[in-house]
Amino acid sequence: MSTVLALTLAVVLGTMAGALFYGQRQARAKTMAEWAVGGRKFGVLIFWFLNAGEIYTTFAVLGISGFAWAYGAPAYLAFCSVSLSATIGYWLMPRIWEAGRRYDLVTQADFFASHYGATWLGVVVGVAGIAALVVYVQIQIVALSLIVQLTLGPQVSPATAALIAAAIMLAFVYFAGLRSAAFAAGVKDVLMVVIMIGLCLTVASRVGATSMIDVYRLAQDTHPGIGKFPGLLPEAGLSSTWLMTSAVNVALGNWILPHMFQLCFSAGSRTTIRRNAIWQPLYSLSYFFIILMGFAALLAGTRPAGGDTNAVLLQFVADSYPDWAVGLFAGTACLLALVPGSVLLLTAGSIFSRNVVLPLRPNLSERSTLIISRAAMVAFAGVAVWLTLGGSKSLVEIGLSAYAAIGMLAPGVFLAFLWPRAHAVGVFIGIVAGYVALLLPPAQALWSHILPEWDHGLIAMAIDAAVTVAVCAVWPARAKALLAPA
Amino acid sequence: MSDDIPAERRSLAHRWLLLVPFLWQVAMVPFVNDVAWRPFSLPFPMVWQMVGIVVTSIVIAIVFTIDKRQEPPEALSETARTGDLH
Repeated sequence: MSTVLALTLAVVLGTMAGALFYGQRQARAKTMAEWAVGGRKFGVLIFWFLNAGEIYTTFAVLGISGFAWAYGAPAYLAFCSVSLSATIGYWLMPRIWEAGRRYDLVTQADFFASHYGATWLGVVVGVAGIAALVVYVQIQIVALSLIVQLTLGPQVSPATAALIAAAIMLAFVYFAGLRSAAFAAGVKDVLMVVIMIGLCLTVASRVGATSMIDVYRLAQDTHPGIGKFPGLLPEAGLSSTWLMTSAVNVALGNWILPHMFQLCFSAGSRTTIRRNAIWQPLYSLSYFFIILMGFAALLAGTRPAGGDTNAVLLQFVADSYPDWAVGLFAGTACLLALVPGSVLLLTAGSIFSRNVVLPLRPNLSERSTLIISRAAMVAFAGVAVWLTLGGSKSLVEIGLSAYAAIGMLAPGVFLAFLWPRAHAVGVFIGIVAGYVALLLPPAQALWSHILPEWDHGLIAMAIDAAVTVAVCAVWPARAKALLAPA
Repeated sequence: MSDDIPAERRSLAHRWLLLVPFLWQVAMVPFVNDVAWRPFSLPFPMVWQMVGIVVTSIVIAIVFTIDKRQEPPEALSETARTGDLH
């Protein structure tokens, strides 16, 4: 076990040191804008790495492999998420980028405040965005604590492991802003590719198959129904209806996640964004290997502690591979959680200081804004830890609830580009209606009854959009004129 | 905010191609779910999604090429704007 711990630490600390070095060679971050969007001058390469960092997340690697192990076909959600998001992104991202450049926007809440001419709407959107980001940070904390438990041993309680995970993540963030995340994303991508190639070349022999493809054949022969919907556990309700509605909801919500929205601002040009959308889907073909690992773990009879689907891949590797390989994998899995985790916390912190605190205390200096932003991140990491202790859910389920939460802001973004008549009050009432439809228990029961197996996030988003459109159609510009000076 | 559609008279009809990925990867899911054929021993619904990914990249590339051909002046002004930011 000590080999595992040593290698895990070596990978994580080595990357942190490299990131620090890389970050210091750049001009020191001084202003809010510099720190949060990396000075608005990312080139194609760094932009690409940041994007890829969003694709190869813990959600994908640990979550999807666990989903494949537990349910089978529902893991195909991974194949839809990136390509459909890229398709929408091709149309949407350049518009967001253009707005960001023209009005010098830093956060998503800035966009709402500036487009709809209502600072108060920016505050509402900021709070909603932070809530979704904290749920997303929870995914990274869950994954990191699994690795902490794997490397330090089962005597570490889940609560302690989650606290250690949060501390590691905050340490990672504080070394530098977005630039170091870009460096770490590069390291992580290289390591991840090396590890996946290594695992894929050796996995067949470890589960009694003759080749990678044969793993799929064996899995289907021994587990009938694994390859089609509703998968291995029909009672879980993960049918083709579930896939269709979840996939659309993920695609519509993807760029609305505040850190993805902000990523659009940091692009160098419209062509960079569009060219990226062409290549982005192809990366997601590599989920083939992630699902392969889930099926292989199933064939190997992997039994993660407590039946935790998120731990399947880690457990499988720990059971079937030598310590050095386990350590390398654990270290890379740490980076997998740390890179997006740091971007998420940075985004949440900058939204808080800029769009929640600043409108209330407009006289704050850039310096105090930066301090508030950094302090807020500690609180958000704390909330994420607290959510983690609530119970063990699949990373895929947590991810879908983050998409559902952020989806309530989607109508406001899409209508901003599609319908000049949309105004702040309409968007706000729509957001409220959406959250009621999403979170109120009687509403949830109603959806499960009349639209079984539908993704609740998509239903709530549709209600949000319908209410916004209705309000703006019935109660037009007067409301806008009344509230515009606010 | 008028950052929506460029004012020049141009056809945006090709943008409808962007619906193809949704038809392929979403609308067709129930229809391919019961296909028992296993190409290369893989489950057909999975192969369908993977081909859908390739189709999506091709569709976006086609739309990109057409867009590019339609908006050369914009691309030029973009370079100029990017230039002064560096």
